[in-house]
Amino acid sequence: MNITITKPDWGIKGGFELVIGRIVAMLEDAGHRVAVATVPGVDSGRTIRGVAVSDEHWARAGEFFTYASLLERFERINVADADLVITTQPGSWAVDHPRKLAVFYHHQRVAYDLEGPYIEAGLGDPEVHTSASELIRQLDTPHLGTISHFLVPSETVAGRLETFNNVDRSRMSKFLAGPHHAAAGPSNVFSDVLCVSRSEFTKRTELFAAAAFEGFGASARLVGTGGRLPFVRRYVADLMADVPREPEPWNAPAGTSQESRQVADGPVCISGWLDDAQVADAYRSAAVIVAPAHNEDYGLTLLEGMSYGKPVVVCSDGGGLVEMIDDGTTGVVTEPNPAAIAEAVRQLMSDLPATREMGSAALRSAERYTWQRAASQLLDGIERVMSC
Amino acid sequence: MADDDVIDTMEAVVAAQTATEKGYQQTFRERLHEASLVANIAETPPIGRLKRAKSIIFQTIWPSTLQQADFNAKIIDALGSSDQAAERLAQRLDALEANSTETWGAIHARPAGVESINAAIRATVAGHEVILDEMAQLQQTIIDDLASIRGQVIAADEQSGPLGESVVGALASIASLQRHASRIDTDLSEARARLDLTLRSIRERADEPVSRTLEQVSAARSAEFYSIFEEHFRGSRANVKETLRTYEVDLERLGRHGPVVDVGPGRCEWLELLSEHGISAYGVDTNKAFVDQGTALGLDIRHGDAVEHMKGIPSGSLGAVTAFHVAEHLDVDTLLDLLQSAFVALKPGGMVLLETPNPTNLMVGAASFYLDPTHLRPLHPDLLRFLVMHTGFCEVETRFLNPGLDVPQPASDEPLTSDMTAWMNWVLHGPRDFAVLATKPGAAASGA
Repeated sequence: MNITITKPDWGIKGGFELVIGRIVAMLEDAGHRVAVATVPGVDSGRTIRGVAVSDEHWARAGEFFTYASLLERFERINVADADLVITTQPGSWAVDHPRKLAVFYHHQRVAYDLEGPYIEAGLGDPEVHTSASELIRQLDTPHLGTISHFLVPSETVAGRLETFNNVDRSRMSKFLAGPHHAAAGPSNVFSDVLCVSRSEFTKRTELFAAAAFEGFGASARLVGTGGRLPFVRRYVADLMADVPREPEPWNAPAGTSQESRQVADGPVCISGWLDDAQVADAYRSAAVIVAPAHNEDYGLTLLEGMSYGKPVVVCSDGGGLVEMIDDGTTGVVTEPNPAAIAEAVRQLMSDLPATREMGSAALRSAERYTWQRAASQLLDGIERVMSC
Repeated sequence: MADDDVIDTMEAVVAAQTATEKGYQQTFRERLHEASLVANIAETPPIGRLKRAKSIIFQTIWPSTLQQADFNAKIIDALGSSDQAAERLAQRLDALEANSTETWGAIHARPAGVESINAAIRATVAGHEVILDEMAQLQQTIIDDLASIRGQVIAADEQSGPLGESVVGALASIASLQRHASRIDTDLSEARARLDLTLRSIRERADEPVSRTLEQVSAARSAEFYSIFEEHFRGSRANVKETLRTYEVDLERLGRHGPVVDVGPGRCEWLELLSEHGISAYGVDTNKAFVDQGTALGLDIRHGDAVEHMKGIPSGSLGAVTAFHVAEHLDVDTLLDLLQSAFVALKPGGMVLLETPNPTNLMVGAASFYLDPTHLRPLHPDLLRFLVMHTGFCEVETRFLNPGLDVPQPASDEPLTSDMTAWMNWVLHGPRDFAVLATKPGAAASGA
């Protein structure tokens, strides 16, 4: 079959881009011809469907207009040659084709489950953002109605589709991606407390840093880059200097300042971007993996940590992350605050034999997440669309 | 207030998507239906049609309170009061599809009766064309009518003084209908282009016997490709013709005994040169694209297999058989066939002239020879010479060309230390082509 994958091009190569790469390979292995059709995530045009939008309006509701424009551009791409279209990130489902399968990881979340947190964090004008969210959902719902089948990574994501867009569960099945950094085997080094995450709003890497200052009983390491990283560095510097700072900074806007302060020898080491080999080293030397994010779709880095035989600590509001662990067996679910996270980590660090055992259970659990299983889930989804 | 503004803009965008949503999710058939709903205006005489639309416009702009959506609905209603035309178009589209299916079915079912099948195909083609033209006309009518209504609204506005927002609203509605109409037009153009592509292939088949072999189909496809390929890699016609002037010294003896047959004349540079020198000549090419090109140049070029052709003509009737860059496309058996049939067809004293790439130039033998995907294998000068002699020709000459012997040929086949520079020059920068010229023995003394 000719299969076209539609995807906005955001100019980044994150976890999802790696998943797309795997999907392309799986489809080609199954004998399909695959094309990836992208449109730029951001367009410089200021007219959407004949409605001219002033710079001022665009600035005030950029999320909405950028998204509406993206939908319009996806509607116009020509995929007539494809027997089946696989849609991916927000916007890409607007493409016009009679047979669409969605590999659905998330919505334009600030207009969905993050609408409230976004406003509470002061990231948008409450009235404008409330309207924008409502209208984005109005734009999405008819498009999502044209999707024959959804492949979802978690119950959390399935629930959002059901709640917000009236998508019936019978049109959804699981697609569980495997790890990107496949561990060569479990590691016997149990030294650091590790968090591998992009620093963005809702990833709450600040929460990890704050917990480290509560005391882990081991050194803490934050790996990964992201738009909020300068903010996180500044926050850690403030903690070091013990200067007055905002409570719960993980729920606050990062501002536009790119200023970051150098942190010397604090309880948390911020590594920023590392290459694959360095990330693998970080996993190998970790004793515990902490994934502090809020209401995630899925946990690729969590899975990677587990595949190195390390137990994980997640927050009770972690969404898809919570679904991936068995509390008390492969990891620990804790309240989303620094003291609770620090307490959970300290307990693990104080009983390393038990922690190792928990890590072994995590490894066994991670071993079920194979790309081979993901491939059969994907091909099953395709079959469901083609038999519609 | 400022919040209301930006929310209004967002709502306008959502309204615009809702308005077009239907269009984008519709199948082509549904869009055609929609298009022809508007196109119903063609069913009533233009003057009556416009009068009605105009009266609705003026009824609605003077009271001026009507919602724009209602206004649009009324205009569309005025332009087309029934969907009969749409039904008819849809039915005809069905009939056309059924007809095509039937025609293709007939082709598969009956390998015989080519003529009647061709007639059926031609009828289908004609049917497609009629409907496509009608569709285009309907689209144009909608666009023209909307432009005309717009003109009348503006004229009325100018006559009666400014009418304010109601006229602006009416113009905006018309503009939106115009955009709608031109979008449908774009869809139809695309449909037309796709159908045209199908029609082209139907026409190609209609012109030829149905029972073509796969080999013939693929030959037809590659013919056009090779013609483009030559243009790209062999060089311009002018350049090639210039290099052929090196044979001007041979023209007299080539044409002395009778007509020259050029095998695979390609773009006909050689035939043109012969013609300019008043030498009677014609070409035989299997590539239809080249035959058409040569014919267009006013040259005598025949479509067919040269070996078969020479077998078909009276023996001893030709003055010369020439083949430029043909031998390397043939396997040895076919090449021998060619030489033998030429030998038979030539008059005593008649000549063969075969030119081919020179693989003893390593740049040619190792690289550029393989640029042409239809090249079979390089011919060593000694092999071609041998084959020609083996056929029975005499006075066999091997001539190196492009450049000629400006690059001195090494004295020996072995690279001698003393002669290394000459050797390297020869194998890297030596002649890129060579020709073998030979004569069919037995000519009466001609004074030459």
